[in-house]
Amino acid sequence: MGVEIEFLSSKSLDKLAPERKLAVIIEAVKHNKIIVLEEGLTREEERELFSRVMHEIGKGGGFTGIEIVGLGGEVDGVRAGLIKMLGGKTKGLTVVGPEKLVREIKRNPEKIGFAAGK
Amino acid sequence: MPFKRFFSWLNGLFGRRETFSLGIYGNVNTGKSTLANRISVDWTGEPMSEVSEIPHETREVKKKERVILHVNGKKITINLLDMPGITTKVDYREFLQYGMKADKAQQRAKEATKGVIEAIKWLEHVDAAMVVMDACDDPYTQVNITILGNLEARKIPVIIVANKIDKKSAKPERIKEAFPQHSVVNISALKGENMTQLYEEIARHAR
Repeated sequence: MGVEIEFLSSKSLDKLAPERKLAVIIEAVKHNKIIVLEEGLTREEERELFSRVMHEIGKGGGFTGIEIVGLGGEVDGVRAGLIKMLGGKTKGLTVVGPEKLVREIKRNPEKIGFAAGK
Repeated sequence: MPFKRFFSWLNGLFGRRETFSLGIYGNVNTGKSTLANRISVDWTGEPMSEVSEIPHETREVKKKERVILHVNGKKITINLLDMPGITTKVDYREFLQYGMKADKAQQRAKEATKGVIEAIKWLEHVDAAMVVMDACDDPYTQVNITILGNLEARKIPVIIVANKIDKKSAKPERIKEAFPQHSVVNISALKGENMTQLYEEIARHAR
């Protein structure tokens, strides 16, 4: 079985309301895709994603959850405003995949590894 | 009722809050309930949670109200909250390995997902939190980062507890390296090692 990876650009993510963004991620992961978000999730969104994943698992149907790894932290407040004004990114990259497909995650503050396959 | 709320606000403002809620957070099987029991037994004489080798033994928030700690001449009253372990995956087949029947395992998985949701909701309502990590595991997980990030965003005081230091493979120094911005206390909840240091840290965070 092949592994399908989907990249979501900052531009495409910005167009989505937070609710829709999480729905898109969950739907893709349920279809065995690995999602790479160019601009990662906020802390709030991560928290909400965890809750929604639990809702989905609770429904039954064989979905057992996600593996998620982020690179770089979230910048808040005035600094975030300034970075955005200058065209920079305030949130790090995030990779989300189906738990069944992800064999290993390696991370340190500057590097992430995501090994997938059955 | 408005007067009660006003006085409660005044108490909080001047640092004389009567009790504060202390949530015990962390990944699954890091020893949260063992720690909750250790604290509860030390100060009330009785345990508060069931403990098991099987993951997701705690599937709802367990509360022990008005636990009174006496630390360095200071009296602290806490409402202790033992939270279900937070995770991004639950597979009922994992429980089958412990000899559980399929229907029981599926029920446990369903309850576990509800428990995680409940624990996540409580992140907004605790006054302080202990984030328990297994000192034998890599601490730099997304679950730990998300828990800490949400507590930090709400300016909720955090104590990181590096648990299971009685095990040979424990490397609590990795936890301090991963989260240098937080107080880290190395303990063994099972053996009761370093609990005095943890109580001192709780007292320091109690407002």
